[in-house]
Amino acid sequence: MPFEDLFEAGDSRRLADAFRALAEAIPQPVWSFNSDGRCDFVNRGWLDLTGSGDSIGREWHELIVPLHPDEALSRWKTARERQTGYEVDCHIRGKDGRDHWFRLKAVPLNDSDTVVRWLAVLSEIEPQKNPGKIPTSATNTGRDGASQEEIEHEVAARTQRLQDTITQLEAFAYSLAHDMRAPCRALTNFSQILIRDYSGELPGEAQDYLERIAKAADRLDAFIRDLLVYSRVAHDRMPLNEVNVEQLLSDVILSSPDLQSPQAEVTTDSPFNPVMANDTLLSQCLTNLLTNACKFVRKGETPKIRVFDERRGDRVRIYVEDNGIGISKENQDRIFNLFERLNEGKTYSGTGVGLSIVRKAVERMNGKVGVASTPGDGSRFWLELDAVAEHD
Amino acid sequence: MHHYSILHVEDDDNDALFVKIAATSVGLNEKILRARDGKEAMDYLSGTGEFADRQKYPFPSLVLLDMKMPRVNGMEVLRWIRSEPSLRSLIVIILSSSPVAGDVDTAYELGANSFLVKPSGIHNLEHIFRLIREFWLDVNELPTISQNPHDTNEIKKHRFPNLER
Repeated sequence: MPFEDLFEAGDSRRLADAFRALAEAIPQPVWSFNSDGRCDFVNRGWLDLTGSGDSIGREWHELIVPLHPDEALSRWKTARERQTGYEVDCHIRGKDGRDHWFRLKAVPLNDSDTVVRWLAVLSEIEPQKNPGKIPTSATNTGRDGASQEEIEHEVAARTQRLQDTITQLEAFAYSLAHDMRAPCRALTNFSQILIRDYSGELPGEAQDYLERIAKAADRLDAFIRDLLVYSRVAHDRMPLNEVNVEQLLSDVILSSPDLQSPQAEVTTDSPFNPVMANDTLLSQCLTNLLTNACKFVRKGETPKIRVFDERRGDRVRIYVEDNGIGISKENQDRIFNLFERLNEGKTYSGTGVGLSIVRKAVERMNGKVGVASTPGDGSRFWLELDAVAEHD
Repeated sequence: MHHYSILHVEDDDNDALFVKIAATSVGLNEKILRARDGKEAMDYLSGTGEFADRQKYPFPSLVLLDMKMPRVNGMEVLRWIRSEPSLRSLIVIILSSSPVAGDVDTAYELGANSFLVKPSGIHNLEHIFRLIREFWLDVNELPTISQNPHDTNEIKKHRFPNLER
């Protein structure tokens, strides 16, 4: 017999059997109580939990310890008046001697216009530690599941607040970096002016100190600049469109003397697949990867860099391969972290932001970045982006 | 001697000093006039109060405008200049610390003639001033409002020193 037919047949005995079978089958505690709130059925789940045989005939709120007793009774009152469901958070002393926390959810069963019975299900929840506060989720609930909506609403509101906080923090970091530029510029410029215009009048030691100030200020400035780039890469609006990688690569190389002969030998294996990207972001990525490839070479060696790509299904991988010092396996994951620098000290200068910018930029283009490398034998960095869909 | 003058709108004394030094290095000494914030720039350009004395406070050939300033910021000054019929054609070059997202586009939309970022390193600033002088003052035709009517000939004579060579 189809399930719906139980109801159409109006066979109350069958219905009662069906309810009982269902209630006994589920492990959660289930009650039924009459319109006055007196319990007339408990399932096995309840007996297993409490071991209590004297629940029948008692009022539902006597079977539990509500988190907020007054609130629980007023919800019950409102629910009866409006013939709507309600929820109450509570704890129950189990037969194991421990307190178990539950959320009671009760729904009314109507016969024409009057409630003839209530069915309640108890679901275990996290222990509640803050009895002073009424959980927003445990409010009166309509049969349409308004409470679920409220929970979702609360989650959305909290997510929004967190997002707002992050945005504020990032704006703060940005404005901090921005405001540090002026004093940093002053340090750089004054020390440079002193060195240039007054070095003849200064003893050697004083000149040395000035050089050190200038160098430190330069480092600070590079740091601030990179942070500002990172912040822009992370937050500016960056729409994606079809990008001609060949053109972009050639622009990047032409705009930086360090990437040209005789400083470096950069070869590009044309043609390149066009990709879905953002010009600014992708050119930032390629600049950083190429600059890194030029920087991390053994002293006195000319950087040899090859850029090529590979179509992988609906994606394109762009490789930047160098003859540099390489990166050990255990460091390959770390290098994309913000401020991570593997080569502390004097050999290779840097801020530890460059590859984080690449990763952030690639993420914003729905892409991936990675590296394969053997120490002493060069590195091969790659970016994977969406290929441009082929037109018919 | 020529009659270029540049109104530098800048609240930071250090940056104002660097501009003076860089300008001196390209022969624009004595040609840098300073306003300490947006409000003062507006008073200067409109000849309000003490700025009515155009002998002492000549009308500038171009304006170098910082963005972030107290009282009235650069964007507001730019908007005001472009809304004033008597000032509308004035050349305005933004010289900003580092551009906050969208600043560059907004400035161009409001009618900035150029957007420059303050460099670190006095040599870089001097390089920028060499370019400003060569392009905006020597090669470029200035609008009528920036030409001193009493010294037209002298201005003309000195406007293209590179071409006369």
